Amino acid sequence: MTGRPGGPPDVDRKRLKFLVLGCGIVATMGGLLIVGMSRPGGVAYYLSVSEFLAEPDQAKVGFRINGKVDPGSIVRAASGQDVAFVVTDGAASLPVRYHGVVPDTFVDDADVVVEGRLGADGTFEAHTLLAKCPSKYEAAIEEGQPMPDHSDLVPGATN
Amino acid sequence: MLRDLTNAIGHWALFLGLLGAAWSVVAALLGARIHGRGLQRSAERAVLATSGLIAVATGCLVAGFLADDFRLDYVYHYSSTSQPLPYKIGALWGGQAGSLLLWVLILSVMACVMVGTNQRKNRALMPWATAVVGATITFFLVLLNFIEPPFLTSVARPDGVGLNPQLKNYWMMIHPPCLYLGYVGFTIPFAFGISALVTRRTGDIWFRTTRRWTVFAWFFLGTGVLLGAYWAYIELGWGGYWAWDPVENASLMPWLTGTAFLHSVMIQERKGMLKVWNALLVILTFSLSIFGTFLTRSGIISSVHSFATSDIGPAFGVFLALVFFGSLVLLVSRLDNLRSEHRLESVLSRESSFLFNNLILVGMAATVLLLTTFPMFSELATGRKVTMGPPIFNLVNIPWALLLLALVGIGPLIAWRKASRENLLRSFVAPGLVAVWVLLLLLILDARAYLASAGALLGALARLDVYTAFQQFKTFYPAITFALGAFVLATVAIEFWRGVRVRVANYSESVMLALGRLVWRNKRRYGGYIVHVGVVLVFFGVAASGAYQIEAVRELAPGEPLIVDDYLLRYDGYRLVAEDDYFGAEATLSVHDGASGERLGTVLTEQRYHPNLMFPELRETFQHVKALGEAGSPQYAEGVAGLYRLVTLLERQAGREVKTPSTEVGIHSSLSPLAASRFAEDVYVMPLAIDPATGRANFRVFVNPMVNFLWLGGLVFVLGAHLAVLPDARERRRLDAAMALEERSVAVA
Repeated sequence: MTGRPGGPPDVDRKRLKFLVLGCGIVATMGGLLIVGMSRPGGVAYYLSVSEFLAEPDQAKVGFRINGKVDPGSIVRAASGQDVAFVVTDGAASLPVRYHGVVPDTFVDDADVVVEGRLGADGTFEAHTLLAKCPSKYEAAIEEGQPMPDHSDLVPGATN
Repeated sequence: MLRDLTNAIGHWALFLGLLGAAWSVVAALLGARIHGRGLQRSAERAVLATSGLIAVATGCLVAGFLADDFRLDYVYHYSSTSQPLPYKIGALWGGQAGSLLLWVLILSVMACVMVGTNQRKNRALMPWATAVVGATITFFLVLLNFIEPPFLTSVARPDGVGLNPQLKNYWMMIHPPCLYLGYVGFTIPFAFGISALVTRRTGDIWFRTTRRWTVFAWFFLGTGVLLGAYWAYIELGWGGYWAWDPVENASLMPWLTGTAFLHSVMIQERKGMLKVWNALLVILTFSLSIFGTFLTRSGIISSVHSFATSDIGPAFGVFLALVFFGSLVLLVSRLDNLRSEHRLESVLSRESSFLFNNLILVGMAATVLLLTTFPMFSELATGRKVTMGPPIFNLVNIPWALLLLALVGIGPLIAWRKASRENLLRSFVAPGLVAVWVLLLLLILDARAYLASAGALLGALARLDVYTAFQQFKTFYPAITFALGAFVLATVAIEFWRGVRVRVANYSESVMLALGRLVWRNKRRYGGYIVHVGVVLVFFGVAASGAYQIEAVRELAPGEPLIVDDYLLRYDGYRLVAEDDYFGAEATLSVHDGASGERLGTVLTEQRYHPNLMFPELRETFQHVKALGEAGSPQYAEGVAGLYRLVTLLERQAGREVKTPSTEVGIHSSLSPLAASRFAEDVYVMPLAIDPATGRANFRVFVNPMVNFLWLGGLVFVLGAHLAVLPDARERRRLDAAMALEERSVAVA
C-alpha cells in the first residue's frame, strides 16, 4: 500500500510539485475571472424597466433592461437596421432606439433585453437587442375584431 | 371519436407507465437486497413494459400532429395546417411536454438495451443500475403526468398557431434529439457508477462495461453542440455561431466533464488511480446533463434560445439536488473502497498530463457554470441580478483552451510513470520544431501588426495593467492556435507513421494495408487520434473566423455591385414569393473574384414574413395569392406586393404588427482546395430590408475565413468517434478477463 501518510521526503516533494502546478492553474483561472469581472463591458445589472427608472445613476453604463415590446410601438426604418420602440414591464415604460441587426424574434409583445445607455433626450440608446418570441398571435384571436374589406389591394381576390 | 380514443390512450399510457416505472425501482431495490432473481426479473420486465407504454403515448401525440387535432393544446400551439409534414413531426419537440416526452422515450429505449444486453452479465451491478434508471424515468413521468401533461384538450379550433419560424429549419429539427441522446445517454454510465459505489464493486468494471455508452452519449452531445452552433450560424444571421448563451453553455458543460471522464478512466484502467475522481466525474456529468435539460426547459435564466417558460423549475431543482448531493454522500461513504493503487511519480508523465487536462476541462466547465448561473446567485445574495457577457467567457476560457490544445498533443505521446529524456526527445522534437516554424512564419507574414501589439503589450505590462495586456495578447491567439494545432497534427502523424512502419517491417504489408489494419485493430486508440484531429480543425475554424471576420453593410439597387474583401458581389435581382406559410422577397446575388472578375457562384437570400393567419382577411388573401403562384399566374408578383400593402394597412388598424419576420441567410462557401487562399471561407449575406416595389435592398455581408473548418472538424470528429465506439475484439477480451477476475475475487471474499 502506498496510501500511507508520511512517505519518504522525495514523495512529499513530488506531491508539492503537483500541488503548486495544480493550484497555479486554478489560481490563474480565478485571477482571469476577477480581472474580467472588474472591467466594464462584460458585467451588467439586469433590471426591469421600473427598477431602471428608480436607479439613481441612470447615465452609468452596464445596464441590461428586460421587458416586453409595447404592441404597436415598433417603428422600423427602411434601412432594416434601425428600430425605435417602447419597452414596458406593465408598470413603467421606456422608449428605446437601437441600431444594428434586428433579430427575427423581435415582434410585438416579444420579451426583449436591451443593453446600452440612457441618451440625453430620455431615450435609451441600445447597442444590443435580444428578443424572445412571445406566445404568438393569441391576442389577435381574443380581440376578434371585425375587419373591413381590402380585397381591392390584391388583384382578383374574391371573398 | 377516434381522436378522442387516441388522446385517452396516450394519457392513460403515461399514467400506467408511471406505475410501471415506480414498480421497477421498488422491485429492483428489493431484488438487490434479498438477491432475488425473480424480483430483479420483475423490475427489468417493468422497465420493458414502461418503455412500451411511453412509446405508445409518443405515438398518440404524433398521431395528433398528423391528424391536425387542434383540440389538443400542444398540437394547437406548435403545429398548423400549413406546416409541412416534417415540421409537424418535428413539432413534437417544439415545446415543453413533447421535449420531456422525447427525453424519457430515449431513456426508456436505452434502458431496454441495457436490460437486454445484461441478461447474463453484470448481475451484481444490474439491480441498482436498474433502480437508478427506473427512478430517472419515474421522475420524468411524474412531470408528464402531473405538471406538464401533453394530452390536455380544449375546444375544437380550426387551425393552430404553428411552430416558431426560427425553429423551422432542418438542423433545428435534428439538433434537440441529438442533444437529448447525449444528455440521456450519460444516465447509463451514471447508473452503473452509483451501483458500483453502493455494492462496493469499485474496480474498473462499471465504466468499462459502459464505455461505449459513454462514448455514445459524449458523441451525440458533442454533435448536438456543433449542430446548435451551425443552426445559429445559418439561422440567426449575425454571422457568428457561438454567443455563450445559457442554453449553449448548458450543453457544453456536460460535454467538457464527459470529455474529462473519457480520458481519466484510462488512468484507472491502466494504473488503478483516480478512482474517486472518476466517480465524481460521472456524477458531475450526469448532474450537468440534468441541469442542462433544466436550464433549457425551465427558462430560469433568460436566454435568446430558450423557447420555454414553465413550472417545472422547482421539481427539477429537487431532483437535481437529490441526484447531486445524494451521490456525493454515497461517494464520501465509500472513500475507503476507492484508495488509489499507485501514486503519481512525475510531473512529466502521461498520468499527470491527463490529470492536467482533466483539471482544465473541469475548470472550464466550472467557470462556464459560475458565469452562467451568476445572475441567479447574485440575485439571491444581493437582490440584484448581475449578468456576465461573452467577453468574460472568452477572456477566461481561451487561454485555457489553448493550454488544453497543447496537452492534446502531449498526452498520447508522453511515457507512463516518468518520461525519460529519450522519450521526450524522440516524441516532441519534431512536432515542436513544426510548431515553432508555423509560429514564426505567421508572425513574419504579418510582422507589423504583431510588432505593434507586442509593443502595446509590453507597455501595458510595465504599467501593471493586466487587462490591457491581455487584450493585446489576443492578437497572438490565432498564430498560437495554428502553431499548437500544427504541433498536435504532427504528433498524430508520428503516431500513425510509427504504427505503420512497425507493421510494414514485421508483417511485410503494403503501407495502405498496414494503415488500415493498424486503425482497425486499435479502434479505440486511433479513433481517439482522429477525434483529436477533428478538435484541431475546430480550433482552426474558431480562431480564424473569430479574428479575421470582415463585415460590410450597403444599400443596393438591383444591378449594383459591392466590393467586400477580395470579392465582388452583384445584386442581380429579386423575386416576390408566397409559399408554405410565408410571403416575402428573394434576392439573388452573384459572387465574383474581386481581381479577375471570375464568377464564383450565386447566393440566394430571403426576407420572409409569416402573416398572422388569425386575421380572416389576411388568411384568405394569403391563400389566394399562394394559389396564384401555384397556377403560375402573371398576377402573382403583383399579388404578393398587395400582401405587403395589406399587412401595412392592417397593422395601422390593429395598432400592432400582424406578421413575424424571418430572414434566410445566403451563404457561398469555397470548398475547393484549388483556391487555397479562400479554402473553407464563407461569403455570408443577409438582407436587412428589401423594398417590394423597387427591389432596393440593404444587405449585410460577412466574409468568414476558414469557418468551414469548424464543420469539417465536426465531420472528422464524427468519423473518429464512430471508429472508437465500434466493437473491438481486443477491448472485449480485456473486459471479459477483467469481469472473470472480479467474479472470482468476489467468490473468494
